[in-house]
Amino acid sequence: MTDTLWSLIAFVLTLAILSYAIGDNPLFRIALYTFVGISAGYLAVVLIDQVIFPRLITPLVNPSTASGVMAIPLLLSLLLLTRLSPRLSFLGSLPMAFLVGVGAAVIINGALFGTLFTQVRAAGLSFTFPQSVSSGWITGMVLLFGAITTLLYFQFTGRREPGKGIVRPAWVEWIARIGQGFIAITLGAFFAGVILASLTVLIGRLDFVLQFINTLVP
Amino acid sequence: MSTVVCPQCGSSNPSENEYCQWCHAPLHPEATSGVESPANSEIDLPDWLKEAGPLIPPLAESPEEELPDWLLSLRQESKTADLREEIQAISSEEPFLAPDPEEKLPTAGDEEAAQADLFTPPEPPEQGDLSGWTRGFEGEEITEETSHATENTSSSSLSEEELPEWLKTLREQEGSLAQKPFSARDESIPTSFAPKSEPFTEEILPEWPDDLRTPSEEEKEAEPPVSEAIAQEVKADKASTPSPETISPFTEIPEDITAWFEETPSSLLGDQSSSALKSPSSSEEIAQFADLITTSETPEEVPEAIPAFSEDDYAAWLDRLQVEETLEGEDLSNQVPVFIEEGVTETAPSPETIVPPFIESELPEWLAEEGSPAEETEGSAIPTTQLPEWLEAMRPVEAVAPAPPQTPEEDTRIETSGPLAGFPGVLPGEPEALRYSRPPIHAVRLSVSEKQRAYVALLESLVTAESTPVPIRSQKLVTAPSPILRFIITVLLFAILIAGLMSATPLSDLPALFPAEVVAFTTTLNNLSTQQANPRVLVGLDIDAGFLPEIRISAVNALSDLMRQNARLVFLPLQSSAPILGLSIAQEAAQQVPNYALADQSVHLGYLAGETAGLAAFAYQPRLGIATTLEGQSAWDTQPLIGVDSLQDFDAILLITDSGERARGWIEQMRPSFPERPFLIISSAQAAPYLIPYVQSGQVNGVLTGLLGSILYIRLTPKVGSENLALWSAYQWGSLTITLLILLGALLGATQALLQAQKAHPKR
Repeated sequence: MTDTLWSLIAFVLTLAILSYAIGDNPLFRIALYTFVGISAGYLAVVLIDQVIFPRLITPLVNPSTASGVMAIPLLLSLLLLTRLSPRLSFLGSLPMAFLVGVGAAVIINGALFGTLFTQVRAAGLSFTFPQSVSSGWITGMVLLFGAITTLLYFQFTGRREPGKGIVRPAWVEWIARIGQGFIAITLGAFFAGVILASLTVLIGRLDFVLQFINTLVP
Repeated sequence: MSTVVCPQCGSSNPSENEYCQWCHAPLHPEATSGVESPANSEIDLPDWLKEAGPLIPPLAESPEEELPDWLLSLRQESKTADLREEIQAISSEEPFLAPDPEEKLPTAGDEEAAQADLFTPPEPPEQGDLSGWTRGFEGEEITEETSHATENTSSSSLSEEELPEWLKTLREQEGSLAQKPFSARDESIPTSFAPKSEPFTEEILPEWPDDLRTPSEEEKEAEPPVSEAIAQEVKADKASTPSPETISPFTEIPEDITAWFEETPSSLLGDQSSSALKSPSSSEEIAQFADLITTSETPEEVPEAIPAFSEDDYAAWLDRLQVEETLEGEDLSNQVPVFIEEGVTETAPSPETIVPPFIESELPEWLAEEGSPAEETEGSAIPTTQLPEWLEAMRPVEAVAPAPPQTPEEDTRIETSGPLAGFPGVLPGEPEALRYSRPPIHAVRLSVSEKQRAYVALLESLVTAESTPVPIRSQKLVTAPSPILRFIITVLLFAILIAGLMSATPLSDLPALFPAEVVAFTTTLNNLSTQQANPRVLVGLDIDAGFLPEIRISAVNALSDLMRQNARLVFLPLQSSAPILGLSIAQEAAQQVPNYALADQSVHLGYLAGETAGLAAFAYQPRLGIATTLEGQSAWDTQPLIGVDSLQDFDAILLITDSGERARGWIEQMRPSFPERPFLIISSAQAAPYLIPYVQSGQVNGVLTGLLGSILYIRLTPKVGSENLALWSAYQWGSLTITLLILLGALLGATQALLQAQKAHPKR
């Protein structure tokens, strides 16, 4: 019975969301606001139950060696709350600076050592001896050519000419056009992936609706 | 018939007239003015003035009778002016003197008369003792002076008939000039050799007359005159010669003046002529002075600084007189000195432009040692470029910086107020520091090379181009499809998908080619148990609930395969909804493996906050990242996590995500701390373009993306349930429909653009 009730709610909300196909309507808005409210409430509960209490309150309540250390995030959190007040918002700059600085450092470090260096090295793997087969060479050449032309597309240094603005050299312009083609293919792949993912989600919802209807219809 | 020259207009009048018949000016100003003589006026002087001494210094104190006439007149005028100013200053303080200081003071005429009396020796020689030509000559000069300087002089009659021809010519010319207004004359040509009555003060006068006078007196005493007769004549004539202001033109010119003039030796002529200028005592002095003047090159070196009445001019003029000896029939211009013919304006020489008329040998030693300013300037003009650079750098700023321009103080400044009024060269009362001086003007021009100018021009063009508005191309408005069209497309797509689900007839058979990443994923996942029994697998849940249907199939099948290998599963959610989704997926997978103890072999950690930073913290030290399980228990005391201290304690990482960005974060943060271990990803189809490069680079061992990945994994693992052909059929029909819709929309858009282009350009 419980499953049937939750399935009914899910069915109604699904139809409400799909009603957007005929335009913005109250049913769609009700479903949307319901989803947003439930998600926010659920997130708050999760954060309090799984982050604040076990990671901050519990160490402070239970005296241990980590209690003093936990006072630091507590202080930073309180300072972060001061940003709600215009007069005291400057106090929140310290935890914000800490968050932004640490986040930037983590992202940059990961991007350099996890993506950039490894991808540069991988671009040349097709030309290494163990993989020096014809298909590998061709794939490597296409990969290298695509990488070079794509990077040259983002080379905007040129000479300013009267009436034409900034004009890049002719050879750079031609190579950039090829790189533009590679970029278009890449973006097309991303777009296709998004469409296919959305199509799969839609198929899943329609399958759920059909199954629910099948359960209603004896 | 004797004539009298009018002192006002210079015209000749009969001696009987008291007033000029041309300008009606009094011909005898002394007689008509009624001003008392200085001797009489001395009675009217106030007591304080009497106590101050005589107005005119005694003759013995100032041997001014030996000075040139023009200089005497200037000095007398200067003294008179100074005395008048002094009296005025005093009278302003003492009101009893204020009413009429002119009455208390002798007028210029009186003073001149007094000077004439004072300069007159006790026993003046008789007129007959003087040479007639000398008197006539002096009379001519004085007449010119008096007529042009409009001074009050006593006129004397002179017979026109008794004048020689040359003098008559001169008078006629002079008369013609006098008839003209004085102001209309050419001022550049002085009509008198005497200096104008400009307010020269004694301090600006050159000192050379005094220097000349002193040795002449000494020589007078030391050396006897060359000819006593001539000296007596000269002395008598000098004594009888009044100042230009007081002397009256002689009335008669002897008839034998021409003859006498011819008989006069040149030396005497020179002596006589020069005696009117500087009164040398002997002909030798005249000759020496003439030699000095002729050998002096100073005027030639500085032609623009010719003094108004330098000795050269007088010497040239006198020499010309000596050579020509007669002036009959000559034009007046012949008597004009050279500097007048050259059009030199007779102006008062400034202290800077006064050129000493003496050569350096005549200067005293102490003065000669100082050198001329020009020489000092040349000597001190050391070019700065000769100094080495290090020395230039060590120079103080004051030495390099331009000195503030200081206006040279004029020595001619006369105090105008206060008790020292009238005295020249008075030290200023205010300190020098308080004087305002114009601040130094520094050059603001920069020395810019052509290359720098080119750069500046380029920069200016860039800045100008940036600020210049550029017309933006009109972008075509992308209009959303109408609601009807949108509804039609929606209905069409829903119908096709539902038809595909219900029919379960795909357009084509299931794919027979398997991508390498799918094969690698399947092989790696199913071989974990071969490398490590009961492998500990970290299952990352970084997925939104919306994309779960796409991932659910592959995720459930992958987890069930792990459960079959009795793997210890540790679920680590990074999204708020991920823990629930993880539980759901795990429970569904566990349904396929009844023997697997889900509660014992798996643990659901709590939400990992911080996203990328949380991942980095967990990768660095897992115990710091997560403390409790989803149920609130201590996470690291659970069975799957016993003995885990680092990320290296896990045998594999399985990431379930729907976002390529999040998958990249996992790879970047986890992979460096987890090398050479299986890293598998189950993702949505939209994350495939992100993840494939990492698979090719070896950072990810295998990837299952989207519904296609699920289907392929099911086909590669036949032990896992049946193939869901309904979803695959709907997926194919839906993909085909979307592709056709995109192509149809592109075709319609191209057709519409072509039609618009034809409308815009019909000729094309």
